[in-house]
Amino acid sequence: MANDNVVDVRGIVQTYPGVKALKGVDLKVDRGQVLGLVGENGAGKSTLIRILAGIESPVDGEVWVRGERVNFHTPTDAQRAGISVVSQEFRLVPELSVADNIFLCHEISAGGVVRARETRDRTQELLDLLELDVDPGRLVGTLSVADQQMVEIARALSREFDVLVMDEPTAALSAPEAQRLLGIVRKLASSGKAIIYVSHHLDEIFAVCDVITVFRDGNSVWNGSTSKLDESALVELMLGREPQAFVHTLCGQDYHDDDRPPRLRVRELSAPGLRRAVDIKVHPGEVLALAGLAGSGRMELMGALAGDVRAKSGAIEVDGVPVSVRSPFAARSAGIFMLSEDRKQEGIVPHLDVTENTMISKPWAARKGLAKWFTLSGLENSTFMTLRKRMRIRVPHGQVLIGSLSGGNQQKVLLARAVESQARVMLLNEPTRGVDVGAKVEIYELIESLAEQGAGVVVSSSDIPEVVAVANRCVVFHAGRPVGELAGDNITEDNITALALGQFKEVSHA
Amino acid sequence: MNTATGTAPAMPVQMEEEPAASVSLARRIGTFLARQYLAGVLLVLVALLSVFQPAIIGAGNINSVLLQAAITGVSACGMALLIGTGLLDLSVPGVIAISALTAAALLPNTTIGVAIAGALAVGALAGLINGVLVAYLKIASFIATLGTQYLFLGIAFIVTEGGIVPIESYYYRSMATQSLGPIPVSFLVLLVVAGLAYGLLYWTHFGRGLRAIGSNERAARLAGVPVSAFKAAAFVIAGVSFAGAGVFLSGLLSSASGTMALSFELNAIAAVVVGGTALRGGRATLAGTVVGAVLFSYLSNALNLLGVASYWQYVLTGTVLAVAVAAGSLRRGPEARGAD
Repeated sequence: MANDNVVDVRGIVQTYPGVKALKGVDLKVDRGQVLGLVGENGAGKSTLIRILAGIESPVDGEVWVRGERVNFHTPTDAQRAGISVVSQEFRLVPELSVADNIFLCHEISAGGVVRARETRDRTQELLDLLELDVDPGRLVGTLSVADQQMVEIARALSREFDVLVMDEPTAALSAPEAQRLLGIVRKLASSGKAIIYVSHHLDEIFAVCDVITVFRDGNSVWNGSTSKLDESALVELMLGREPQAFVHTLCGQDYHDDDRPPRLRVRELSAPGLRRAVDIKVHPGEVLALAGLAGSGRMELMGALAGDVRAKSGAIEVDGVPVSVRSPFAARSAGIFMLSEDRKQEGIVPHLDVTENTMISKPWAARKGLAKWFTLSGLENSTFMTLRKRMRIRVPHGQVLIGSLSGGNQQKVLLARAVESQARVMLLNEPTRGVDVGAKVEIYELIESLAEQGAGVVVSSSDIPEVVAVANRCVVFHAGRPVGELAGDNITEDNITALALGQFKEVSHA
Repeated sequence: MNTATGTAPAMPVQMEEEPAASVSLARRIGTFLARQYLAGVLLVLVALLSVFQPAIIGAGNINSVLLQAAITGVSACGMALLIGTGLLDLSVPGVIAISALTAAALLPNTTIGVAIAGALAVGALAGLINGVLVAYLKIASFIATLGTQYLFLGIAFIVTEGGIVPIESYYYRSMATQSLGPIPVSFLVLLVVAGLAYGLLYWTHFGRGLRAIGSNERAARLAGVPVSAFKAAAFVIAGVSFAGAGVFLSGLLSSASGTMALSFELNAIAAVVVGGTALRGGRATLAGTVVGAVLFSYLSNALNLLGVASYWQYVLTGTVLAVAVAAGSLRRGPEARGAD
């Protein structure tokens, strides 16, 4: 089995309950080569990376490394075979120093004692290689996100490896830092390493990769030399169809020509995670969708609007009145409610029943008389029962603990909470994540009815068909800034995808 | 809104059955009684031990058990609010000392009412200090209140120069020891305090906020609960309840001193936990807390009367507490897991 391929993946199949994530993919990479692995969300890239990292075992197919068939059962197996992975999520320990993090689990030691000086020197070498100017003794928790990303990369480089897998390594980096990293990737390749580079940023793929493999719906649909493709051909391969030409004409133009002030007006808002200040308007009765990849800035914007993260500068107005959102409490009092994308960690309150979970966001100003102070269970119960009927929440009575419901029904209870918050601005993050198809449609209807009752609704979603389904207007984010605005018939899956991947000619902005 | 509405199928609105609008009163009373297994344990224990030592169920003895239980119980009510919020207060001995000393210092010059009000105000102030440290300076409550316990005790020792301040006032002392029949007034006060704490926790928006913080602080914050303010307020209320315990204790002892309630925080926490409240937060049972306080006080009393050597009393008390807590968590197990 002598061939040049350091890694040779053949016909890998991986299934999860109810989903076939990989339907028999192939991938080959040679020494000294940078392979770009591209595809839409859910195309199967991350699944393959988890298999190469030894986190998952495939159902079928073969992985060959340096001409030998391998079977990884644990991440250690993969490391022994010379595969080092820079994962998308950091796996750093904030309370340990940079050096200790880099050599965690493969400490330089003698007789069970860590050799501190040598660890420090080796760390310094790696940091010099990455042109990262931090003290090896500094605690990782005190570093910026970009520096943590570089430490994660240093950790991958600290092991003996022939193959380096990098999953979205520039997601947290600024443009110059990303450029520097691309240079390092090239240097590693010319020293004989094989590199599998995964990124949504197509410009990086073209800048650094020798060959490209495209995944679509769990299949490897194309592979070949980078020089055979241009960006639009690559996008077409990823989508499986030609992206339609689009016009984004409605930038800065009001959706409604009415004299009411917008429900939400955001001026020059800058917040952590946004690379440019953002201006946004949402009118009464309008559903504005924010689309874009994870880490594109839309979630950060929502967090800043809801008072979860402090904005660095800028102004927020609700119904023409400037408001200050120092906290989610202040935001809610100002008429802004946010639904988190993380239902379990940030949504449900497990010890409270469905009625209490529904009523918890009702603000002081919306409560009357005795109900200002007291929860008055009879009153709340009848309110909940009305909402239960209207929103078709499948629960026998109002005293059921929310944790015992299905995901879709939990989500409906949280949307009932949004209704009871009586907010004029509804910020809904991933409103149908993890929800079955039937409940999805009901949630779309509910979003529509919120808007019909006059709320300004902002839906932030990574589910592009969902954006197309609910949006009156859509702002697409890419790399920390809004890059385009679509309205009416221009809101199509292709247009959104193209913008989200950074395929835009020019940015016209309000 | 184009496709979604267009394709929405006429969803058959089928609720599993048309269920009762809410849980019936009879069922609620049923669950309430089922939760009071601890009271049953207490009664069985009393009955068994009284066979060996009939004095245990004498009116005088019941009175003294309840007197002790009232003091533990009043502070445990405040502790239950905090534990339901996912917090803890270890500064109880310090708060009791400085508030009782305040009453003792005021008593020669003013009325009982002013002295008690002064003690409660000092308790509120101490609670506010704890609250600010935990809610606004984000120090873990365990650490912050361990620190303030030393702080408050230190103040008490400095003010008294390590000594004891006697309380002469007859009325103050009799307020703490007076009884209606076999039931001490202080125990009746405990029942009222427990009722108020229950109402606060389960009938007000504030209490709902506290339980939400104890259950899932991040979700509570995003839902718009003013987390820091509520936490601080919970500490203030708990501080007042500790000061109330301090008033009764100083009346019973006829004095106040820095050492009057050392390690009392453990009694308060034990009463709450034995009563069936999980330290994880999210809910708290006040009825259980009262029973827990009585059980605690009854145990030490009965072991004394039975002539058990004091070192063995520790062993037996510890065993009973461990068994009670284990039984409680086993009983609650499935329900608690279901909630996560």
